[in-house]
Amino acid sequence: MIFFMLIAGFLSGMTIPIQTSINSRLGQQVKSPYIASAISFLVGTLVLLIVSLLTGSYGVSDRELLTSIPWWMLIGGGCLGVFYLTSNILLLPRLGSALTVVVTLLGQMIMAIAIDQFGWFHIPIHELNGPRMIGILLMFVGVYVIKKY
Amino acid sequence: MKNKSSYLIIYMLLGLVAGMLSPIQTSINSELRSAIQSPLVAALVSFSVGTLALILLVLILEHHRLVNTNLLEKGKMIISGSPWWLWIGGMLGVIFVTSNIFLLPIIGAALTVVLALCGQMVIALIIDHFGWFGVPKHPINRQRIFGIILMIAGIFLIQHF
Repeated sequence: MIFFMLIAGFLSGMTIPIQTSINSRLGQQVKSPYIASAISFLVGTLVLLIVSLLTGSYGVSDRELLTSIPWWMLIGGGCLGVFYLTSNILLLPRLGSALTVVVTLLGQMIMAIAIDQFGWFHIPIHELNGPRMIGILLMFVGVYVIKKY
Repeated sequence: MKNKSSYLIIYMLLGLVAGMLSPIQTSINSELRSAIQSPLVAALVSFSVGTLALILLVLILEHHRLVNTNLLEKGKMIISGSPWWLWIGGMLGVIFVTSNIFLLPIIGAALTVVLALCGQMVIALIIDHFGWFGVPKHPINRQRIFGIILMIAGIFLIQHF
């Protein structure tokens, strides 16, 4: 079971550079990175709406449940996604692609380790240890080597 | 000169912060998922909010582009002169966001990030190698394969300990 999870995580990562390539071509066509991102998000929203309706997972039947959800949970994810996407677009021409990947990756790893370490957002606690640190170091060297050659 | 390098540090900090927000985004989306009990609807909420935020951003930053041009004509021209796959970028984003919402509570934040990254690097190498989507060709070499092997070894260590 865990094997399929690992494959799924790997495959989902594979969609990112394809999406970035497609969106930057779209950005050239519409002559604005922001309009390209807006189109990309709009298409994504429509696809999710259709899939949710088709699979019948509009699910929130309980109105009390809906109003009990804190506001940051509703708007947090989407806003952070836009912030991440837009800063990448702004940083790429200023830092270059290698440096952009390395600094955002560093930020991701630091935060992911912190989330696992302290069990934030109800994630099971998974403390940092020696082998995990070596694993993260190996990842960095790997990214560096690929970006350099 | 001094000014330029201090700007560089600010940009690098911005990149660092943006990177840090990404696992938080996935965590918030996972919480939303357990609150509304559907990864699809959680992703839908996330994308709807993102779409609204981007429309606002476009209205603020690019409004001159929207008023000064004949939008309908131009839109038609762009749509008829573009390949179909230009419009499916958002669908790929949906796959990424939804599967991360699904995976993070099960395999943990670090492993989710690391796996997605490994997938990114592998497909990026393939895109570079074949020059897909109009990207300049950059053939795979021994050093790049070595880099991938290091990354996979790293994932193995993170997953097992």
